[in-house]
Amino acid sequence: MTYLTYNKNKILLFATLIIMFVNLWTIIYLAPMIPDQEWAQRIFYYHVPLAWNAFLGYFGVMIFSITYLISRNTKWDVLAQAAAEVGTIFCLLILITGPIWAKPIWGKAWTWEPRLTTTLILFLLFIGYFMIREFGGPYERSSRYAAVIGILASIDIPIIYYAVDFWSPQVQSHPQRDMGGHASAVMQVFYFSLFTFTLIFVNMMRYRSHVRKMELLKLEEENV
Amino acid sequence: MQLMTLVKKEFHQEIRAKESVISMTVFSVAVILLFSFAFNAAPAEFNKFLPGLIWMTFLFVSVIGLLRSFSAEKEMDAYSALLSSPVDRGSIYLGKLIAFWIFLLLAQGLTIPLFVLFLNFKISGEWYVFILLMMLTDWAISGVGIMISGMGLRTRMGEVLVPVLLFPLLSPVIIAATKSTSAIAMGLPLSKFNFWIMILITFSVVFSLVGYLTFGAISEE
Amino acid sequence: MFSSYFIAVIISVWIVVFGYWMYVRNKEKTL
Repeated sequence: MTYLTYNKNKILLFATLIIMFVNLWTIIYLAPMIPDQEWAQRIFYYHVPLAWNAFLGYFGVMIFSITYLISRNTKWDVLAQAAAEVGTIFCLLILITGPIWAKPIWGKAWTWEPRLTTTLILFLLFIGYFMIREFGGPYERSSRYAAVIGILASIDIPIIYYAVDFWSPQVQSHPQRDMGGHASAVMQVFYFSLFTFTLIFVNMMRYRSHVRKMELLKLEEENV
Repeated sequence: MQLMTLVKKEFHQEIRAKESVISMTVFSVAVILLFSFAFNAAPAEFNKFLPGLIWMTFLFVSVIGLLRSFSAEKEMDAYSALLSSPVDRGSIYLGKLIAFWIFLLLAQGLTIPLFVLFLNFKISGEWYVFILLMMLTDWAISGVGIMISGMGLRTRMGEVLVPVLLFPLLSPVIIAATKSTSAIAMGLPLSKFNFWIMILITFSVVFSLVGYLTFGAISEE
Repeated sequence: MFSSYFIAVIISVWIVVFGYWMYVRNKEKTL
């Protein structure tokens, strides 16, 4: 059964697509114009929700991995793998949109800003995660190893963030870093965008887990 | 007690212990020589980079050493024998952690004098503080390293996987160690760099705990 | 009218999101 044969999934996807367009519309027409930064500032409405969701995904990786190691029930490994993949895609997007945002605002595409640097390290970490999944041998072993790496990587996130934060040359307060100081119109558009990207995240997770589950079932059949 | 026996076991393979420390030390010497050539050893500016270079060297050295930390078990399938005995998996982890920690400290002990001699490494502060820093950082490196090599070395691309996984995981440790070393070299009191020490302590505690709890899952057949 | 950076971001996000969806769809088809 393909993912989209289920009505629930069709509805979810369709609703999300609509909301994505609405989101873009609000960003273009409803969001207030910020004097110095003009249109480039609006990248914030895409960039920051991406970051929040990527960390949501990696938090999920930690929970699912721990649960998998304890219960050894495959469904948790499926969720862990999907969360890792979707989280990493969002990480990639953060690394793409971040420099595009930085260039007009700060002049340079890459400064060793804590959030971006942490995201880069995370991205590299999860490349390792996928390598272990690929080269780790038979499923029983590679899934266990991936779970351990997943736990190590996600536990490291806050430590990496604080270390890089304290280390980085004092970058003046990036707009994204003081969420408190924004006008309420900005926050409303932001929260709607956050909601949109969370929906995108959920869709991608559901789709990926479904396909992964099918992959594993097929592997089981072939091994019997 | 069990743990002591396990640690001693790592040493009893005396040949392996010697091999590990010697190969790590020789590697450091080679790196130091290369740095001397590559950077023309101009003293004034060099001192700013020295802490970073020192810890990068030790990081590479650790990878070399870790790649060997399971080699004895792989030969003669001693690993299955070890696992079939009623030893607590967590203790195996701690045993290897402590043993590698000691090997690393020994290798560092042999190479720091060379950094002083060839690259003008100077400590204005107290040397014992630096030694304590090394002990702490090495514990962090060993804690994560034993876990990673325990997994990586049993896979196909194992030797590549160890550095690929280790370096990003250890990035906060390297930052902290480098910053602390700079501070100690400048003679600053502990209060100036205690944030970094906290990072190292947190890291060591958290990851050793994770290692202790998960080594069973790592070493299943 | 719009800053080209803004457009670049919108486009790249949509491309990657749909690209990933296509990637998973491809996996599904080749099951």
